[in-house]
Amino acid sequence: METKKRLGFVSNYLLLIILGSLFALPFLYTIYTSFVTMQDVNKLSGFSNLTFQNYKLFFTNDAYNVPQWLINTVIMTALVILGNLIINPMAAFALAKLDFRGKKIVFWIVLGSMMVPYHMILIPVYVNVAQLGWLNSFAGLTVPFLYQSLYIFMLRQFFVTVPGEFIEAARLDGLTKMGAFWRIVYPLAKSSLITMSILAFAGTWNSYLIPSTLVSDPERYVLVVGLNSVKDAFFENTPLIMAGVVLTTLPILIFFFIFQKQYIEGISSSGVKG
Amino acid sequence: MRKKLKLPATLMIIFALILVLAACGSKNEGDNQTAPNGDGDKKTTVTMGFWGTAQDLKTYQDAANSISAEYPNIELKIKQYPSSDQFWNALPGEIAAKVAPDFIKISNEGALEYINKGLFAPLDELVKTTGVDMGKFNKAASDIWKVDGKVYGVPNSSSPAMFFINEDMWKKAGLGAYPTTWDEVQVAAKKLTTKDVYGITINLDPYHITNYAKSFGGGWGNGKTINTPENVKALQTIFDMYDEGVAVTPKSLGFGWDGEVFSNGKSAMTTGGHWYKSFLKDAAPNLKYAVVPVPKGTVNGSTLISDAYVVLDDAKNKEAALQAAYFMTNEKVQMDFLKLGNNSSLTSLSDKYFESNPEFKAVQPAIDYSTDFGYPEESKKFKDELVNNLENNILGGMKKSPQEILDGIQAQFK
Amino acid sequence: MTTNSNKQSRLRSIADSDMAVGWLFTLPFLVLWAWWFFYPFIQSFIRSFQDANFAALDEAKFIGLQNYITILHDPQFYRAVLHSLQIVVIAVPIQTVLGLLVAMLVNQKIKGKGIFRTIFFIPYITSQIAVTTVFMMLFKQGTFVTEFFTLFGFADTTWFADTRYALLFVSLLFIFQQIGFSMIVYLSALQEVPKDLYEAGQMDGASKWAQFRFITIPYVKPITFFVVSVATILGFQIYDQIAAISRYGALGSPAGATSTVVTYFYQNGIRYMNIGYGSAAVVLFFFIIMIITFLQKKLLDEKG
Repeated sequence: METKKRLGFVSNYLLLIILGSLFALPFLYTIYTSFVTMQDVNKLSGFSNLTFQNYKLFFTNDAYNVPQWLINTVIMTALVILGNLIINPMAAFALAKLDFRGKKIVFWIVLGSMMVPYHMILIPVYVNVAQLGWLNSFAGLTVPFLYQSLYIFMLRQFFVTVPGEFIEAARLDGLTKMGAFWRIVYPLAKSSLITMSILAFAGTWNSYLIPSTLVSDPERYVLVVGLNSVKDAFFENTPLIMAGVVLTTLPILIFFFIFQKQYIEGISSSGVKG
Repeated sequence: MRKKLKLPATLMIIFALILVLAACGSKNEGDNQTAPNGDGDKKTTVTMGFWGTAQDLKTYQDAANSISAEYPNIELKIKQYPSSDQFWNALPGEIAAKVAPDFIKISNEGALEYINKGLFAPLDELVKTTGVDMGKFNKAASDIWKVDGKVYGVPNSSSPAMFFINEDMWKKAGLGAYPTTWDEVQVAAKKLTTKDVYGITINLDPYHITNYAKSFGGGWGNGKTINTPENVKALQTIFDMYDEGVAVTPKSLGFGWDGEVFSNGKSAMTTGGHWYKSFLKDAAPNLKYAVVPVPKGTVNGSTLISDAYVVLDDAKNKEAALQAAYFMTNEKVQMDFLKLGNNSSLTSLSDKYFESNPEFKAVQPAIDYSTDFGYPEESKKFKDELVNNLENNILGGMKKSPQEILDGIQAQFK
Repeated sequence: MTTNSNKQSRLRSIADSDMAVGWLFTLPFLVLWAWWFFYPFIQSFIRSFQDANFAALDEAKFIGLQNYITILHDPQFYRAVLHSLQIVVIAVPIQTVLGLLVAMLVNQKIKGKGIFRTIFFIPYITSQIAVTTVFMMLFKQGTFVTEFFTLFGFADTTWFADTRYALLFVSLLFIFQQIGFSMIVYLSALQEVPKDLYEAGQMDGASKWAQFRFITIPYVKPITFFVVSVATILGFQIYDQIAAISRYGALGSPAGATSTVVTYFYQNGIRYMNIGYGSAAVVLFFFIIMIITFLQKKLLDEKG
């Protein structure tokens, strides 16, 4: 029994390490490429030729205001997540746990709006934003994204598994259904809300199409757009692009690493189960 | 219970709708771009849309700051786009919202499509009223920007296509003078092909294919002459080199474009253009290369790339836009670009260009016979069709003859 | 006093009514949706009945169903639909199963699981263009990756330049990036599985497989519906990866082997500036996904 357990443990680790290296490889290669010169792209030239010049360029050239872009990105992302943390769970709760007329339609509205490539509505959205005078502003970058159908759908699927007894018990304690949501369901849904925040963080932080279309003032660029504007006119400077990718990805990685600790096996809603 | 609550729900929906309408309608006015200006006299704000390098931006910023010396009534703003894709993404919305730039710089490759869609303003009348001198540009570039007898662009640059040869490989193979015809190229390519090196890169991209076509006296004739015998011959030459195994397309080696194949020493020759200089300086500083005009098939022929400033049809003040565009072609601005390897369209600067870019000296005569790409009106569709057909043969193992391919494309572009 | 408590109890009954709370809670979403999605969508929908050129949108002509008719007669459209379906059929099941597997692996009480979770999540958060670029460096002729795949009967060739493998290459890329997403969603769902159920299972002598089959799977079923339908929708919308491999050629390169419904829309609507035609393509595309999602819901989400 002991050995069998140990064997299982070792094979688990082995599997994790093999899969893990497979998944890490492209990013490691991205990091490696961000440290080479144009001459050494596409070659494995060893570690002697590594250079910081790509990163240095971002922080020394006047045209690239990386700190400002970083601040812009943080503000945009924070506002979007905040909105998503309020609007999405409310709608998801209504769709999962309340019985109201029109619910089915609302649910298909949620699903349906995920199915249209954003590019299709880009022109009318642009006109909308421009008419409000929101071009080059945080309002234009955030207000349309304070809700996201994808996450409403996700949270709805999580909330469906919350036992109805919770809400009934809360009502016996004198809470209304509205109260039950804010006081009971919302705090209990911590792990799914964290998941949503992580995903929304990554999605917003990395978004390119919208910020690059709605913002044309380099002072208002977000990180991804700014770092992409560094391209040369005629050809792509792959190492420089990769350095940009590493710079953009690191904050998300840190964010994820901090919040993934919240997933601890065993802490679950089981205690209150009916 | 249910019945009672219908009312609040309906009220809420109405409230929401009002909110939506209010939000949509409120800021309609007050956003009209009037140029607030401190010093009382009426200045016109002109916006130039632009994408490119940080160096280009600096050149344009400097020009914008000095424009008042020549045109005191114009205030020039530079609006930078992260890339050309982003520009074209944003443009439809910008036009609809009336915040599009007044003029932009674009290349002639594919410009016909936009001109025919009415995106750019014809300049002839404006030239008369503003009195700008369009005679200072070289003929080749001026011709390119004349469509159906109307002028559409203020030429910024004019560079002929070029043929690049890896000097070391050439010498090592014991080859003599550089090739002037495709027959010579074919012979040399066989000798230059080794286990890891292909004789020649033929990027299956319209730019390169068009140069082959032109060197056989062909061309697309804006869609009228796609399946001519000259073009068939050009395509046959390309296919022959692939069949002999001396040619390669960047994609099959995992590269994005021809310059990467050349800089990595995977091919000894390739068609290219002036951008190779700045690219090779970074990507392969030790590579020695020679530049000659595009080899002859039956005649001297190649494409001319000419960037120009075009005024958008929606520009608020087209005269001011043209003046500002014209200002970008003054000698100082042009000298800045010239130093970056881009040949000016100013006749007066042509010699200077080849002085400061001596490696391109051999292609100077090519300017005189290089011409526009001549894609059909639906340029992008044509380019996609052409590329798809060629890739089908070279990468997909289809065995269509050049005549079949060109007949098929011709049928779609009458 | 009485009116006050009356008022209070009425407020209370509203706050406790499904109808009122349901609409109240979905209202912020619906307002934003109507404003930022529905209104723009309707405008684009109307365009699908027009011959519209973006340089002069006010001059668009109404042409009825002509755009739809042309699309339905275009063999390229069916080819694109077929490619999209192929991607979805290959990628969605694989990424769902692997996503759950990886989530279970990193949900164990083991050292360094935080690092592993992060590693599996990296591809999802790295820009798609960057991951594609790196994959393109790895999947070209003569690298150890393509040589490894020759063991399974694949030719040693540059995958994305070969019309036989290019679509598979795109599918692999999508799987690779989507697993991180599915993993974290499943990871979160696994937190919700009551632990005492497993303990009870163990007491009854149920095997690991039986526990997985009869406890885990049913518990994560609603989330599986989410994972599957989102992967389907995103699979249909793959664009960046294809744009990256056809960066210097025609969209859908090589030779249209990676053309999909979305690239069809981009090519016609955006690239050729035929906005009406492109919008019509998206509307058709919308119906295709709608039907598939509807079937998936019937299959996987009996609770809703």
